Amino acid sequence: MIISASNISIHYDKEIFKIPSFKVKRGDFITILGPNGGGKTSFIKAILGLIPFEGTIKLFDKDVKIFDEWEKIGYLPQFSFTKVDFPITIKEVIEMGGNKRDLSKELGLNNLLDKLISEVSGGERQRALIARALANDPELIILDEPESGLDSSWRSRINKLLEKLNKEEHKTIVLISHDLTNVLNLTNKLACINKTTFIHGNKELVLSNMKEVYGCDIALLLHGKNEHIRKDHWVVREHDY
Amino acid sequence: MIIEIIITSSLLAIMFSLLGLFVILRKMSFIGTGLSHSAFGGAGIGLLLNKDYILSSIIYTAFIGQFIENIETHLSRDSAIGIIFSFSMALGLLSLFLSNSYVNIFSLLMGSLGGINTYLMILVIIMFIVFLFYFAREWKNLYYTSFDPIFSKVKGINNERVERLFLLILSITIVLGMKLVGILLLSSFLIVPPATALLLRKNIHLTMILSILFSLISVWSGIGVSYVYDLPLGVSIVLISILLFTIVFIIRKINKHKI
Repeated sequence: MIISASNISIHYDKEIFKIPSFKVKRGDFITILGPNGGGKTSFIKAILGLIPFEGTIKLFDKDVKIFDEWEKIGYLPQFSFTKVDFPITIKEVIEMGGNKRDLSKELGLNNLLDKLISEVSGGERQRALIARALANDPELIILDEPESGLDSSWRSRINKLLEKLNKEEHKTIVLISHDLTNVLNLTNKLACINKTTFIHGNKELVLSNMKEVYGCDIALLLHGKNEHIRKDHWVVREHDY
Repeated sequence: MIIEIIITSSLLAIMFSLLGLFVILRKMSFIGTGLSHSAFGGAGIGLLLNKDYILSSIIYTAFIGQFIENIETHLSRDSAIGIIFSFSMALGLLSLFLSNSYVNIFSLLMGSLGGINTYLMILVIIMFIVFLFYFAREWKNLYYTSFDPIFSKVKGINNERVERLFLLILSITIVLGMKLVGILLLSSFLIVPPATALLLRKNIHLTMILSILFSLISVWSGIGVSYVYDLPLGVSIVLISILLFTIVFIIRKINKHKI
């Protein structure tokens, strides 16, 4: 098992999040959904041992509290936390992640390597952070909203890259996303977290039970504003399966 | 005498500029101020007990540095440092008042050429060797954790260890700089040269070199000015470093408008 978690409760920012059980197998592509403030990022941080929690979390069958094989994990933190005004070049940002895999060309960064992070656009910065997450050729890839700051063309290119990593190289991928329609084709499992309600499992099961199980309306998950359009969009996509 | 002054001040300038750069990058400027005022409290204790006040100051300041790292309460770190800082100042002043010490309070507060002797030089040289080993080993960890502490943790870097070690080295270096620039101006000497280098927006390697350069220029010209015009050493050094900052700032502004 790549990730296994049981009886997790996280007390964070005056909120309580509960996850009764969560399992990720080798080669899984799991997308974590949920409304803003629902606990997606906190859950991921707990999995990585970044914030305190109650319960048991194991990474590669080892308790996260004593886990030390970090080179197996690639992580993209949430976009907004990046310090833009820092004397670091794009090349150095990527090197932080390791040097086993150079994706700078694929991610359109090869002309920007010597630029400071303050000198590139938001989308380029996000691509550099994605390159950093993948730089050590990790077995487990955890991405917190990789689509932030990217235009639709780059979004689909990143999705293709993730698909390749998952399907051809059998990497395990955990993705936090707000845009289910964008990743529905790629993912084989879904999870949804909204404070103390949590569900995860195969994509079809989660989609059909999402509303009943914990009152999280799929249309809301797919962003409130374009509720109807998005919902239709999703229904069409679902028939494809 | 002159050799002692040149060696001591140059080595201190190098250490201060590099540590100061990371103090800024880690947004710890107020901790720098807190530690430099703690140095005064520690020195006061030594004077009161009639012991080596540099040593007492190193012990006290290093303790405060580690203590700051432990503050995780309802009290924000900032206010806690504020309290420690005023307590240490009061402690230092009280000790000086009670001890009838021969130490000139002005030279302790504002630095003086007369304060630099062979003993201090030897301490600074030892510290510099320790610092070189420390910095060669740790700078990448410092750099990464300053930029992105969350990602660094996932890369297996123990940020708490990095920060504790940094505060320890910083505390000792600050105390050793006390006689050169004086308590009141230690934090400016720590911050201004690297802040000047950061204005130029270069990569980290160039920023480090520029910080060292600005710091050395400030110290050397400060010593000259202090000697010729008989001004307090710390005052000359810091005023020159701020002059450099202003010049670089204006040049940056002009260049920006040109573009």
